[in-house]
Amino acid sequence: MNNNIIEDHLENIQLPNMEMEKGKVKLRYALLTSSHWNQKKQNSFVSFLKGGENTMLRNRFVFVGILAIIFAIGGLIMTTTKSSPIPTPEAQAEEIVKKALVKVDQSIIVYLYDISFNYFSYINTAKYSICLYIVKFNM
Amino acid sequence: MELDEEKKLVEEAKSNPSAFGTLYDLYYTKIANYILHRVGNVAVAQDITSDVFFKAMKSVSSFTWRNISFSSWLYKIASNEINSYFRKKKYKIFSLDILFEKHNFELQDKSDIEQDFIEAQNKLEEKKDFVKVQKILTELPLHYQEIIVLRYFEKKKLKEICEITGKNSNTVKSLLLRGLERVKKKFFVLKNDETQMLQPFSQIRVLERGDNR
Repeated sequence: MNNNIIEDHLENIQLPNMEMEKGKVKLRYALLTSSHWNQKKQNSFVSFLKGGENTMLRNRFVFVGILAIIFAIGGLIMTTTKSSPIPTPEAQAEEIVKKALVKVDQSIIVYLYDISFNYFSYINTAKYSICLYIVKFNM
Repeated sequence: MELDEEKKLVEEAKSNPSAFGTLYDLYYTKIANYILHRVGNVAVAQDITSDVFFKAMKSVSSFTWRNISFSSWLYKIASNEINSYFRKKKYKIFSLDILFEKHNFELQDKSDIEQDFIEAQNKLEEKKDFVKVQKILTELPLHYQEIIVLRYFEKKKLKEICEITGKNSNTVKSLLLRGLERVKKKFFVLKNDETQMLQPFSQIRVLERGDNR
């Protein structure tokens, strides 16, 4: 069977029409007096974010992507700043003392090792105190 | 209507209800008939038509011209609604009432609309050829139904079908061809049921016999 015959028949079929005049009039009335028309016109930025029938999804993705990048960069800057703050004079002093203690500590360890001294308990008690200096000089 | 004139009207309809009313008057019949030809039931067609125009009203403010005319845009909404109806098989009789209630309207007399439905449905049933073909079409996958109805019932050009369906011309052509093949197969199924055969289909069968000889 040729498709053209079917095409002809489909094209020439007697079609029904929507004969709902009252329904049409009532729907028109409902549409035109709908509260939709009284709503405040939305801010274009809000409607852009909300999206609509014709708002391109891609635009919104780009916008959200840019926001995410800005937040990521901001977060990175914040963490870097926090991890390397400008040291106060007190902190600098503390740092110097710590370094000095380590040096003292190591020299004591080497020295006590040489004389086979059980230095652990001694160091543990004296390590963080100023007595270390005295110990070193006494030895 | 000229394209420029329509563009102007659509722009106006974004904020002006009476301009939207003009668009409604222009396209209501076309859209309602298209839906009726797809679903074959007056009540369902009325229901879907209402939904389509409510959706169009809500989204017209964001409508922009992107290689698609306003009428194609309406057809597109209608197609989506019809497809959704066929997928979910939702059937809300007289949902116009529900829509009216949603928007704080009271129907003065519901019985006259019901009477309209009955009369319109009776008239539809009288178009026996259509009823038969429509039944065959609803057995096809949705994309075939859509394209066949747009092409042969709504007499849409290829370009318009492409706009409405969002498919390219080659895809539309191939869907049409394959759709017709499927319709043809459905005719063969009907062949054995002589009592249900309609005149045009009987003619097809006779012609087919002639072809085979």
